[in-house]
Amino acid sequence: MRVCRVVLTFSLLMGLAAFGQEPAQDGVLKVMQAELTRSYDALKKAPVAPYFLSYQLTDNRAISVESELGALMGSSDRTTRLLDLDLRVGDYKLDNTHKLGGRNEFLQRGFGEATATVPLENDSEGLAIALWLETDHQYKDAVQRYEAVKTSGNLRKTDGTEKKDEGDFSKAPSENYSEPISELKFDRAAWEQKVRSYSHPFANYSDMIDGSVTASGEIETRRYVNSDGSLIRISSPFYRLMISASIRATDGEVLPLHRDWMSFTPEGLPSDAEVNKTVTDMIAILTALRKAPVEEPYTGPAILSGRAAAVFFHEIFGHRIEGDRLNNDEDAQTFKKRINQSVLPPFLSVYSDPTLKRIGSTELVGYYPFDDEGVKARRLTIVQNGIFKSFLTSRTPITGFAESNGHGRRQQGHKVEARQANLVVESSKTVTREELKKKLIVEVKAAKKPYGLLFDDIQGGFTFTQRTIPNAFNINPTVVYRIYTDGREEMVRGLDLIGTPLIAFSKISATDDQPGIFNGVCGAESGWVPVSASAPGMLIDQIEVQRKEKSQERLPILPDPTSRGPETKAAGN
Amino acid sequence: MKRLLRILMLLALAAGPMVAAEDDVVMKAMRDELGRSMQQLHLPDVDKPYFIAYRVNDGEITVIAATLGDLTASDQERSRTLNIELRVGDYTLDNTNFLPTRGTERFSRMFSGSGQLPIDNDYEQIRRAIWLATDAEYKRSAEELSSKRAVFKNRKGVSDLPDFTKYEAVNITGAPASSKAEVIALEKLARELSAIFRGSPEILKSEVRITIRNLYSRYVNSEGSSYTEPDPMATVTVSAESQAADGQPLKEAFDVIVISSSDFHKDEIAARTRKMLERIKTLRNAKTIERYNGPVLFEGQAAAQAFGQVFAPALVSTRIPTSDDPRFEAGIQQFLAQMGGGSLADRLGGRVLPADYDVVDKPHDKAQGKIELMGGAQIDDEAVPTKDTVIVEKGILKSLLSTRTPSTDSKATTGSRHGIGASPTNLFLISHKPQTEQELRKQIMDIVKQRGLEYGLVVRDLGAVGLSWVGRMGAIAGQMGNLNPGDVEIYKVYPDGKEELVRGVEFAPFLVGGFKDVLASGDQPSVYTGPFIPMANAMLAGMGGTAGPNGDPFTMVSYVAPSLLFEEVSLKRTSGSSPNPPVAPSPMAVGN
Repeated sequence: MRVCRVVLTFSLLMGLAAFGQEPAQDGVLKVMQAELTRSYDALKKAPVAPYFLSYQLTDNRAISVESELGALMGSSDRTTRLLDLDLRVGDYKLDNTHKLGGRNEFLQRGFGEATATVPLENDSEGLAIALWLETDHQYKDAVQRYEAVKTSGNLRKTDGTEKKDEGDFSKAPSENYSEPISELKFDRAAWEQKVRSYSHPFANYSDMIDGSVTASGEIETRRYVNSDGSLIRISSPFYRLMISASIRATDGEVLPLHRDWMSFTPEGLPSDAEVNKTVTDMIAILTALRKAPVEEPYTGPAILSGRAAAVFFHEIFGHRIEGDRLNNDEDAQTFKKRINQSVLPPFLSVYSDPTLKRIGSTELVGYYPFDDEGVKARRLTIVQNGIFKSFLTSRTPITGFAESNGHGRRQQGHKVEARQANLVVESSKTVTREELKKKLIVEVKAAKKPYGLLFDDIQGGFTFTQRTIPNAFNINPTVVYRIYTDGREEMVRGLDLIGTPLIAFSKISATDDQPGIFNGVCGAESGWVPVSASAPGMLIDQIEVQRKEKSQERLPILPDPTSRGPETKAAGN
Repeated sequence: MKRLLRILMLLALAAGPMVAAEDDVVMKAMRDELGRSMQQLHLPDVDKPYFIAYRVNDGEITVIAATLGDLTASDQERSRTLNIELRVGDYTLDNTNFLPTRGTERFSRMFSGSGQLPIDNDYEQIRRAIWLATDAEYKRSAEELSSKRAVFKNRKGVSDLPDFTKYEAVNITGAPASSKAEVIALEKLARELSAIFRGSPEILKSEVRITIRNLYSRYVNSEGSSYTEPDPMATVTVSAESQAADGQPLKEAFDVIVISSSDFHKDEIAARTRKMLERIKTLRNAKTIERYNGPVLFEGQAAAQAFGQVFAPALVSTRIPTSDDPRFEAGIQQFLAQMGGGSLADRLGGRVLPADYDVVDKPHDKAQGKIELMGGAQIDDEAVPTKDTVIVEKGILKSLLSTRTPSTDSKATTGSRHGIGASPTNLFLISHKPQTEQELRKQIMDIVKQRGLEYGLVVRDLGAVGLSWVGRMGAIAGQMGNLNPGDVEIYKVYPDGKEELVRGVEFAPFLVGGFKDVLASGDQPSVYTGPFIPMANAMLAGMGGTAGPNGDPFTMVSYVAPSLLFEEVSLKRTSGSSPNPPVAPSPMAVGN
């Protein structure tokens, strides 16, 4: 729902302000630590005792403004404070979080996410009470579930190949870290005016279904304490500008196009001139796409631009290296038996580095110093010269990886799982972009095809990792060109890129020297988290595309009633 | 486009009424697109729309919540939503009163006919959004009419009632409410009231929630009607939870619902809060009762609540939609029977109350004594001017509240379309044989003695849903929004006049028929403002009709009734087990 807040609640903001406080002086952390110790000690005396307890309190203040075709659709300023609590009974080997066999996992998990009402103010006795009640609530749930886990272990056969002797939780060093609390710098009224003005040009084209601009500024402050003595405060600013537009082709197909920017500072967002130019370019591309021919089913060589390759790797490769999936028997676990085996061509290496704040001049939003389980972030090699080395792990162990490598992440209110952060694909065999195109033409000729494809932009896609469904992916490209053997380029539309992951990776034959970077927000089981991916442009010897599902929707019966008139104006080209 | 903000600022400063909305750009966009759609919107060989209505609601909602003197939320939202009522066919047979059960149609209807509009007063973009929404709604409705025709062709005995009735053009203009939520002052109020629970470690959770809802509706339809209407409401909800020594959860709550936040009386609310706190403390150690069958006196607002929760839902006329699956209809009939049946439609002309009672709906009344009545309206959601309706006269059921959708029991509208169907506004139960409170007390004690009982029961608060079966289901499913289903407040009264709070009881099904046997009533009418929770059949009819006009499933109604004495009511101990008390003591109890 789009909403708007008219009056800022200044009193509230004053109450929340705790700029530059030292962690020792942070009253909230103090209350969290005191209550954690008190509740933990009391529960220790119970017949079934906890062996681990952590509190994570996430303050989020977000201002967001959205316009469509020149008119303001919504404007909001929200402040929330949410508690996530991890309480474990049993021991590191077997505890209440252990996956239960059978398909009743949903029922077993229930709806018991954090529901405590936590005061927004820092010096509140309500905070201690909320922590106490939620701890008690989670403790009772944990005891109950632990009983179910023990019973289930006695009832089910142990399958030798799937046996998990790595335990349910790993130890991690106690950490002490504190950042000053960031200050939100986002002039809401000014941004309302900006997004109106940015989205206005889209209103001049009657086939434009949608042309919206959203700007947001956000500060997320996470305070974390656990029973091992960790004390962490991270405060991250996050500024974002998104443009989404779509146009309807004459046959009814809706063609979308997106651009976005993310930064840790408001200055990192683009200038008016840059945004206006982007909008003009987007209109030109969409208008061209509208008239572009529909691509037929095709198999043959193709190039993924750096940005497209980055999205491709995030979706198709990245989700398969998230370790927690290995504890799910329903997951296909593509790489489970591939440690120290070849999964990519030998000239490709992949690493994850959450501590990386930028590549070149581009900021990476997947940055964080500590993950959501209080584990210090670090660089991790995933693929070395084509050989698979490691999964991303949280504190939930997986076979062969007993410890967390600092990738336990969540959106507040969700359960932590291993997730991607900054995924970087590097190549030791690069050519220039022009040479890559030449190589493509050579491949096209060899395959006796009239043309190859260039995927310039991808808006996302989906990939199945379950066992019960064929392990395919389906990627939705937005800007695609045919490249003919004479080097001519022609825009096409109406296609999806499909395939199976291992075959697609094995067909990568060359890369260019211009890495593209994708910054985005990725949604999975543990909620939405900011992620980045970087990859060079890639030549893939064989890909497959299929026709997009056709829209059954009729065009509107009456013409557009606004002054845009019934005829599309000439676009910028 | 600073214009809108400036208008709002002016509003905040000068508390005068705003310019009439007649000529504002929103209304103009609505009228222009309505005119064009009626003239031109149709596909060849497909039925045309014969009726279109647009409603645009501007909403400003402020929610402030606090616990123990500290804020837990302070949010303001502004939104502008569009609702379309589009009918294809004609008044005799159109796409409504039909409930498809197959395919995706059922789901498409639930989410159709409404959408967000720009909050800027931008004629072009508002008109464009209305154009696209109308187009989608027309296509959906035309498809629905064609499935309905197909079903009617294959079945006998389907309803031959017309689907909709014509109404003359009405034009009413109301200015938006000038009041503006004073955020800072309200935050202070929430802090102060919630601080009352400080120093009471036996209270596990407590909250003071203030909601200021400033709604402004614009409406136009193709019959030439139009209106603009403000609908402001300010609510304070105080709630607290505790746990008895045996683990039983205890929850107490009350609402204060008025038109403007300037009508909040802090001292009164604070006094009620303190009383509630004392009561919940007493309740922790109070005894429960296993079973009770005997006389019950509903005192003050509890009588208005019982009247609103049990009797009022039976006073509306409903049209059960035809479905495409006879088995579904049979199943529904069975389900409705289990859920307390339908309305009193079959009892028209019959006795439903003792001869000394009338029931009248009074949409134009503003207050009962000093208490504001909240249900009033000049015009209903179908652009029919509202009027007083006598529903029960001298105990005989004369009519039911109805809408422009005819049903077997009412052919003409009473101007009562509010929300998803017919609803009362300010509903009065009037006794022509009032007795003083002492007389009522004496009467219940006489019965107690006569039947050799140890005590009788007095009910002072039923909460928002204490007697409403549908409401309690909704509360469990979390569908009651802000409404706090607090526990019922019941006392034992002994022949010597001594009172004792009772913990953890619930009513056995208390049905509308029970009102025929009201034994006596008091002389001081009380007001209870709460949701109108229709019976299950009315909700079903709502699904087969057109979308609710403002997305609120429940309308707020003020119920007015004197204390009521019933000879035979059944209660029993609340069923179900209780969680253990917290393992660690409260952090507030430490060091005390």
